Amino acid sequence: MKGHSDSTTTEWPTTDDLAELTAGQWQPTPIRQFVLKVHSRCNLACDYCYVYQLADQSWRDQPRQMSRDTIAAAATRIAEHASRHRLPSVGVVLHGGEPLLAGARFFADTARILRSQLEPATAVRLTVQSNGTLITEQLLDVLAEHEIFLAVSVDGGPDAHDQHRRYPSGRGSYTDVANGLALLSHDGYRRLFSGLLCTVELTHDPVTTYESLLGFGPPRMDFLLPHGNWSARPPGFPADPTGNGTNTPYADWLAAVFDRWYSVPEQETELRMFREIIHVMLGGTSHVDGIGLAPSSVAVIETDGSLEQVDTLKSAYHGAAATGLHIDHNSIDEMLRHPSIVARQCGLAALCEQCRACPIHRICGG
Amino acid sequence: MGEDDLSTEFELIDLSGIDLAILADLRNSALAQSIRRVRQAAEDPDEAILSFQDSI
Repeated sequence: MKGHSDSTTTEWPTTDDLAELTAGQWQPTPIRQFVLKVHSRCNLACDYCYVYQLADQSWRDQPRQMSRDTIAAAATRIAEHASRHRLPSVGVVLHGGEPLLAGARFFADTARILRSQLEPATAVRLTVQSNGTLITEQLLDVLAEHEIFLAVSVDGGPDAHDQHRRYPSGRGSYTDVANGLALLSHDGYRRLFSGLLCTVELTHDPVTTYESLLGFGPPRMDFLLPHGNWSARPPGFPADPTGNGTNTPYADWLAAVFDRWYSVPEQETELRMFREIIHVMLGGTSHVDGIGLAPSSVAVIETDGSLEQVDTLKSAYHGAAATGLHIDHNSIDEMLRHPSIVARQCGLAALCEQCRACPIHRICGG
Repeated sequence: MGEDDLSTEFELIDLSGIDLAILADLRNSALAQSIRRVRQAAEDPDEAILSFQDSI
């Protein structure tokens, strides 16, 4: 599917589609989670990374690190949005690139700036999503002092992890990540451990992968599907000319993990994907982007202050996540009227006929 | 599995009348936790924060 970030594009959704989608009583959903791309570079060269290895290359135009002025401006915009919508809490994810490249002091300063603008009216949950190679005691002391949680990306045991998650030199990163997680598991820091993310690799046994991750004692974990689209299909997913979806390698892989996770008398860890699917099946509303039809309430603030959609869209085409908005000139509420944001918030109305005809479209979300 | 079976299997469950004491006996606590969450969400109008998929 071709596409570009030009505002004159005729790709769906357009401003005309927006009028149709939002006719009647529809109101936008306030943003509740803000992803701050605090560092635009990374010390790893993971070969599936949507920031550096796929269609979008906008990282090249970003400053290396988010400046203090940009953080302050972001905090002002978030506080403005929270106040307008009387939000009791927001989540702020410090992301990248690799956020720990910013250094421990950066996180202390960022936490102070955000909390001074938002609290006590709006509680702030701060999380760092890291590749785990730069965890030190000094860093963890700062995170502990400022109540900042830490989540790490690990792809299983040593062989599975090092297949894709390597340094630019080609050396695997598993040893450094395992050492970092060992520190994080110490008594004084364990409460900061938010969880693990693992990208599915079909060539590695699913149960072995899951049990390797369990070895780190995470409070929760999730499996991410490798990025793909109709133009560039995910690894191991050959073209299906029938369009009937009879080839399901990722479902088969995840089903094996589910059976292992679900079969124990007492749950060993929270597994977000399965938890959310069960929750939606039982009539609940999903709490993670990518499952169900709940309105997306996530906004990304790029390193230079640009406001963007969820940056996993960057796997599609260059500029796919762009909105043309910036925190220096635009409010978060203006972002809520962007056609692509509306499309991710209007639920069933945004699904094509093929998706609506599917018996599980309310669980999948299309 | 036929398409009709799939529709039935994924039909959303009506929680009214489900006794949590019965759920406590369920072998898998994930299911019980999910039902408890749905009940809590029904009582608390403030929706929990929808998380970015690439963070946890």
